Amino acid sequence: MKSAKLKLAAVGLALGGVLSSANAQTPPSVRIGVMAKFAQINGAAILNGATLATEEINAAGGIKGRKIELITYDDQGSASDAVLAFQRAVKQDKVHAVVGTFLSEIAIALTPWAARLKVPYIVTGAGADQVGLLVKQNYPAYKYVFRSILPASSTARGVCESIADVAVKQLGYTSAVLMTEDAAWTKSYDEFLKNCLPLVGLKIVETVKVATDTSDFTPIFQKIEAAKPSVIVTGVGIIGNKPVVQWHNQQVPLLMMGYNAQAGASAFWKETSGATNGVVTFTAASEDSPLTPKTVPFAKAYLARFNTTAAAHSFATYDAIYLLKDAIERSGTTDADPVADALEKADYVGASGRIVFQGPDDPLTHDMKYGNGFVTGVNIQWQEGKQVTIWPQNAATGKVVSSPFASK
Amino acid sequence: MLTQLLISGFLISAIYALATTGFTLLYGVSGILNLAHGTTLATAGIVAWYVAGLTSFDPVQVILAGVTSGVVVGLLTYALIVRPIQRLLGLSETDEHVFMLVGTLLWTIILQEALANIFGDVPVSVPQFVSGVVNIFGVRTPISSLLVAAISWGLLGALWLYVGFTKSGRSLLAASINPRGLVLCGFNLALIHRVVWTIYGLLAGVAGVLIAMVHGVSPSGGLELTATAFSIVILGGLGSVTGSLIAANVIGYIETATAYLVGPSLRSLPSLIILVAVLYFRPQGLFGRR
Repeated sequence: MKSAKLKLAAVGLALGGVLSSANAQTPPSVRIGVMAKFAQINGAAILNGATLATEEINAAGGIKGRKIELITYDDQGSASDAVLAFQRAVKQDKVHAVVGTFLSEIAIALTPWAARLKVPYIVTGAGADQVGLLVKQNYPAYKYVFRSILPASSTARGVCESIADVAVKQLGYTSAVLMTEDAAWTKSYDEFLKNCLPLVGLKIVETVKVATDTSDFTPIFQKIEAAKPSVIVTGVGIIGNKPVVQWHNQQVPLLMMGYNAQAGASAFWKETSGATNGVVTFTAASEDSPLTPKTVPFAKAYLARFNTTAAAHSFATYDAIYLLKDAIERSGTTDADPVADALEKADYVGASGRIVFQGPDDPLTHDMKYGNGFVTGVNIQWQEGKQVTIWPQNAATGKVVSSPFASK
Repeated sequence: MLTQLLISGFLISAIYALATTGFTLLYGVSGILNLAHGTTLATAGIVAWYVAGLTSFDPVQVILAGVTSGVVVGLLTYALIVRPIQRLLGLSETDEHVFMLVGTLLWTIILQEALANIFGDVPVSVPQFVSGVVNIFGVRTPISSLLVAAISWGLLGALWLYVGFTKSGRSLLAASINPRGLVLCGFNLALIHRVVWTIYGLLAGVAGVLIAMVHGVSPSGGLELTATAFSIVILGGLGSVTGSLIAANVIGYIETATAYLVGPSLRSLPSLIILVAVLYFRPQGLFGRR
């Protein structure tokens, strides 16, 4: 009996040894949390971008032999859900970093939590300048927060520069109505455009702030038309497709340009049943514009894998995962502080451009540097079911077409 | 400006009227406040959108798909939620009302999540049946919106004929006045309830497709639609079809006037103030019986 017990113990020990040696052979995975409301276009874009990057990296051997394990957290578009999920991600699931977040209201709520829990957090969807300002004001405590999508003021700069070129020079427009949704991110967006548009030759004749739950846009469009502008400059993301569909149904004879966060994805054509034809939007990159050697291959792989084109948020999240890989490899660890320090020093050519983060002394700390040689973005116009890149000149594959209803 | 206001108000009121008639009819005949109403509309709109994107666009097919899904959801609500609660023994009338509200609210959430899972939680729009615009006294009006108004009023007219001039319609009216008397006369109340749920589904189906065409619908937007229907019905009087038709026009015009004269973002404010005032001074609504 005694010897039987001993034998059992020996077998147990041997088995334990085998198991633990097996454990030692597979290095622990790098756990990355991805957070957004996945049932929406932008949330799906974030998840898809992260998934594609993870699959590519794992297929190529992982990060120094460690596989990436992607853990998903659906924030349901609610800041309180997001904070709880973020805490669970760090405390319970022990993630090494978090990427994602579409709503600025959520990113602003999560920023202090990333600092408290000391975990690198790359915002890949939300644009409010406030995120970068928070990091700057609370540096170095908030040094863990980065953003791989352009902040609203840089988006506004891209919109302004593209409008100067496309609307003023090519189409000869002289006046505009600024129509933006009432949300955190449009504060810095509006402010920038109100200064910039008149400087490039586009007079703002009216500013319309639209509540995000507006259902009937008829009075808004009639007010806009009454101001007799040559173009509508938009800043919409949360509102979704209503302004676009009603603009089409009512045949408003003015082009819609500016930024429309949803119109960057090809799913938007389907959701609006084609009403988006003619809409122009600024976005990170498009499938036919070779901003960097990685842009087109990523866009093609994304389309093949998910059957929809990559939106700005897909580019941002895809780049964010690679930025983390780059930072972990350079710092040689997954510990938060060295990774955050390595991210701060990143100089990485991603799918959306060359990513270099602003430092503690720059205006928006840990936001991407904007401009030639860094990240710029493109303008696309929906033309008969296709997104045609119309700006900047060096990436353009087509020309802007004026309003489909202008002559009527 | 005035013509713009009148035309926009007329178009939006027509949709409101159609979207709330089913809701109030259901309450009038069977005493049930269906909190899943908005989601029923959204389901019809989303299914119609999906069908419209499948094949070459055929308006008849699209409306049929919407109506079918409206009727299916209506009958499912009745069979899975309403009927089981009605069959519970020992439930007081007040308890039954509370159970019904909670039951239909939970059903809303189930439907919403199911829709979001299948189609994604995104707003979608059904293509216009007819594209193009006409100029009415200088106001550019989409032909499809006029068509929507025509369908709405046509359907409401048909409903009026049905309730007033057919035997089965009159039994619905009777059920709303005195259900017990109807049972004593040998009518099958359960059958009448099934009929009213079918009519409800039909009205909600058409309304859902039309709303999806004019404004767009999304799974999470269902509760908002219920809220609009609710304020109209409270103003008109619970269970009164005439009341809700008038209230739909009142609310439609007031909202439009606010949007034009005050500002689009304050559009729904006056109707909420009216709602509070009605509940305070005349809780039974303009034409309420219960």
